[in-house]
Amino acid sequence: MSHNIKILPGATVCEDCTLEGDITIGGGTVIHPRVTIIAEGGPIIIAEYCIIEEYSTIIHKKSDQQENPPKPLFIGAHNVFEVGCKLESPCGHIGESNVFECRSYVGVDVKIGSGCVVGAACHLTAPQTLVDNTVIWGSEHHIREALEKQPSQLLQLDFLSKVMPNYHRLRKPNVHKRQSSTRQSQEPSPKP
Amino acid sequence: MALYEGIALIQEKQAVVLDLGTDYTKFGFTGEAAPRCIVRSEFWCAATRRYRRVHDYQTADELYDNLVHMLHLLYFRHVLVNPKERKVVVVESLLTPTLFRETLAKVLFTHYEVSGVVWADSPRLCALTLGTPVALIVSIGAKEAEVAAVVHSCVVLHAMESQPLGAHAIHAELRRLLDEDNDATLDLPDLVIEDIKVKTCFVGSRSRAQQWEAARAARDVQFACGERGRLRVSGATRERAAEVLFARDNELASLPDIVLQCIMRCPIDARRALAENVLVTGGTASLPGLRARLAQELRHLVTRPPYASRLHVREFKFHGAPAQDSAAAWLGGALLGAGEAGAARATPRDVYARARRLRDWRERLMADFSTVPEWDHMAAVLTCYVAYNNR
Amino acid sequence: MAYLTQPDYVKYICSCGQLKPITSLYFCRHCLKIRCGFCICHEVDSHYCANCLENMPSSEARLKKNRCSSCFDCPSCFHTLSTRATMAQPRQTPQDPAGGDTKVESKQPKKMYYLSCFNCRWTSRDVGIPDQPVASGGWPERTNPFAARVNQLLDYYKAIALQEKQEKIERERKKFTIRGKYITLTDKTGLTGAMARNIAGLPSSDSSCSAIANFVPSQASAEVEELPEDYYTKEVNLNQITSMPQRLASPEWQPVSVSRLHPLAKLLSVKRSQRCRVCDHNLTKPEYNPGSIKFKIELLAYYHVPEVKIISHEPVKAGEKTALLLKLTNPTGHEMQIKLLQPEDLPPPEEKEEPKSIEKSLEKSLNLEKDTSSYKAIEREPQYSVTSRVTSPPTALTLAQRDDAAEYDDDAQHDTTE
Repeated sequence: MSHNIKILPGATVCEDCTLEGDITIGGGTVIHPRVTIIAEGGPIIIAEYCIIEEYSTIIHKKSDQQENPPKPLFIGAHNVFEVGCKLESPCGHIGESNVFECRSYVGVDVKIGSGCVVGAACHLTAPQTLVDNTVIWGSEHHIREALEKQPSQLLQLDFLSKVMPNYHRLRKPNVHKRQSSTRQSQEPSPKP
Repeated sequence: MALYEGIALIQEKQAVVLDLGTDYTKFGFTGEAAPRCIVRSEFWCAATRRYRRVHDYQTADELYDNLVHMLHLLYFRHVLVNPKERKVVVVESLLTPTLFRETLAKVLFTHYEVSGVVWADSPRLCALTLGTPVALIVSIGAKEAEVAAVVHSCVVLHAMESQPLGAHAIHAELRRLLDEDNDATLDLPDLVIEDIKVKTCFVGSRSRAQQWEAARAARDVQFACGERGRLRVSGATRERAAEVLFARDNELASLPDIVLQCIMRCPIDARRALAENVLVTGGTASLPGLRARLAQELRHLVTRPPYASRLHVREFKFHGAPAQDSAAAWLGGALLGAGEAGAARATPRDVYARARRLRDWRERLMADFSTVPEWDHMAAVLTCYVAYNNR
Repeated sequence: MAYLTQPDYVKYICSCGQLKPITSLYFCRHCLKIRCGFCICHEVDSHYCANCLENMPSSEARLKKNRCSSCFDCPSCFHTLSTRATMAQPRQTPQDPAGGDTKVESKQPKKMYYLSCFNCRWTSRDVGIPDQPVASGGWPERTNPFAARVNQLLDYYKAIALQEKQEKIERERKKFTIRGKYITLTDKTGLTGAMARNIAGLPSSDSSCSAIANFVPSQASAEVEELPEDYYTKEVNLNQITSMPQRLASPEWQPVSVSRLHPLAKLLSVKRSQRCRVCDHNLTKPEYNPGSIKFKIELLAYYHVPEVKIISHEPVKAGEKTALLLKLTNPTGHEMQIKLLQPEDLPPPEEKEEPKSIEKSLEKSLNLEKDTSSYKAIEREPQYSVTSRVTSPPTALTLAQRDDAAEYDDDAQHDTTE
């Protein structure tokens, strides 16, 4: 597996995490230690200002009908992956401002729009599409639609990017050219 | 000492009203417009580590335990008052099993040491919320649909009709239809079935039901149900789940049939008044479209045999109780308990302690009125109300 | 021996005949009997809000219908709502009716508060409740739509009851005047019934008459609200329909649509004190402070009754003897005599004098669900099934008093084993 990890300037990526495959991490994103991101089925692109907390796992799964070249898994801006959450996806697109709460699990055939919240310990395995601003919570998987998107965690991001370097070894940003970030800014809105 | 006793008498504690339904329990204070809580009639059983329904019992002892736990929950979690030395208005169906009544009395009087209990039957209490002298109460509850005629605050006992046409019948039908829709034995828990019923089901009009295959079917619904994924609830299922209440067969035991039969058995001079004072109540009555459908069915059936020749009532009028459907009987209890007249006619604790049993309407049917010196106080007070009404 | 997550292997017989683990038993110091939650009297001690830990006097709690005035529950998922602050900029949410007013009042940003649920992300803005300028309270209160009618009915029935009473008094008086022996106070002073009513603090008969005269019975109508025709063909948005628990959480309104959900004022909790039914002494009495979980009085069986633990046992085989190792601990500061009895030697509950009688069961399979219930009048024989016999040592055992120093001593051995 080729290890091609691009970290854009402004991103805070701890050294103590497993990154495998072709991964691009956008500026302003904070990746905590012990995070696992595996791009086995194709590249993973994480946009700006995401928070990926400890023990969360993002896997771009290999699928049988693999296209060539493989489609990337694009994760929009301002997403929050809380402690221990797991996201498995063969390809596709995850919108912005989603929150994946602690120990939540999002299975292969789940499409996620923008502003969605997957509640703590909610396991989404059945094929489904979460429209924008869907909130799922509780063991019974109650669903409701929020009025507006989840507020972004800019303060928290700010704090984390200041504090993290004091306590963790960080991976250095290795991309200084702007071209890949301009590519991301062209497609910030989720596609249905 | 005497002075304090006097004060205690004046400041009688606000009584509580208890309506222990099969599925939902309504509990609150007298004189208030709505119950403080409507909770499922079940409690957490620590020994078996699951919720236990109050009405699931084999023996009297088991029921006693269930009631103690349930009332503890109601008094100390929801209403937050001391049960001791406080009166209770118990809203009960006329068809409550004797074992249940007697055990409830035992629990209230001996375990919770309440000072008095007013036993009130739900048809008369429902009529109390209307203030009309004559009313036909159609109460569709969890297990049964009961039709009772209240004429001048007396229930016409021999005309009372009851059929197992309640929420449980709809649930069973919905369960069957869902299995058909999804080609699988789903075995959904009761709560999910109830949720599907509440969110998707409705009762179509009579004309649709007559030719429901020709009518444009209602929209299908994809019901997300936790980890089971999505269930298909077809438009036909949504519409037909509650059809069981209106399904007629040779026994003429559908909901509109028992309403008409009840009217038919009543005294001839009360029939017209009853038909013009129908109150449809009970939790299942809030199903969208149910009232309208019942009205259509009644108006249609009354022109058909066997009713057309024997029942010369053509007009049906419907009341709305000043309460949510599920709490109408409870509100009646709250009204009754608030007045001095009702509270004063409670069975006091010392009387119960001596007799250790309750009076029942059945024994009054058996016995001649003159030989039973202390006949039901409730009937007395309610007849008084109506006597004034008619002036 | 009691576990948090396992079945209760050792159960004790309460004086009422219930089988319970030692953790749910009390010991009445005055009757010298074991009591359990079933055979004692529970009383409401004090009201408090479990969220803000604020005490509320019971009179105030009654006035506020047992609801906290500053804490709210989410109407959607019943989690506690938190107050969040925003800066009210000219950019207001469109459905915020108060937004226009605040803009006019002050040009500079003003702190506005709204309620938000961290579990299901419900906010008070979802249902169009305007943001509040103060952090606590001030949230709009709804009135019961039927309140006016219910009050009319109440007045009406009270008036009738009064009139009925009045007539009864009249009748009685007529009866008594014939005898003429006892002259009531009202007769002697020539006071009329109206005056008597005044004294009794009841409303005058005029008002009761008017309540009766003005009362309008409910009007029936031939029209019944039918479902709109588009109801059948309309797409159903399940997210817009409330579930049964959401409806019943506010019994007065029972909203059908999600847009009608309002924050629920948090229900208060109570601290309970428990009382022995026989001698009326307190068994437990909590401290008044809601933040404290300590008790002023706590007569728990754990402090008085020897604790029995099953240390080990061999698999039970039919017809054979197997070893059972029990550990008995004396929690008291006094020496204790213990005699192990067979179940049939157990004295019946009424005559049972010594509180130390204990019943041990081997396995959870032996422990049948108890059915007995209790009150001083209805004590019943404890029910348990016996599938094996324990051969007990014939002599009484002596348990030495609790040795406080033992906890610090490694090789102290105070166990009696069988």
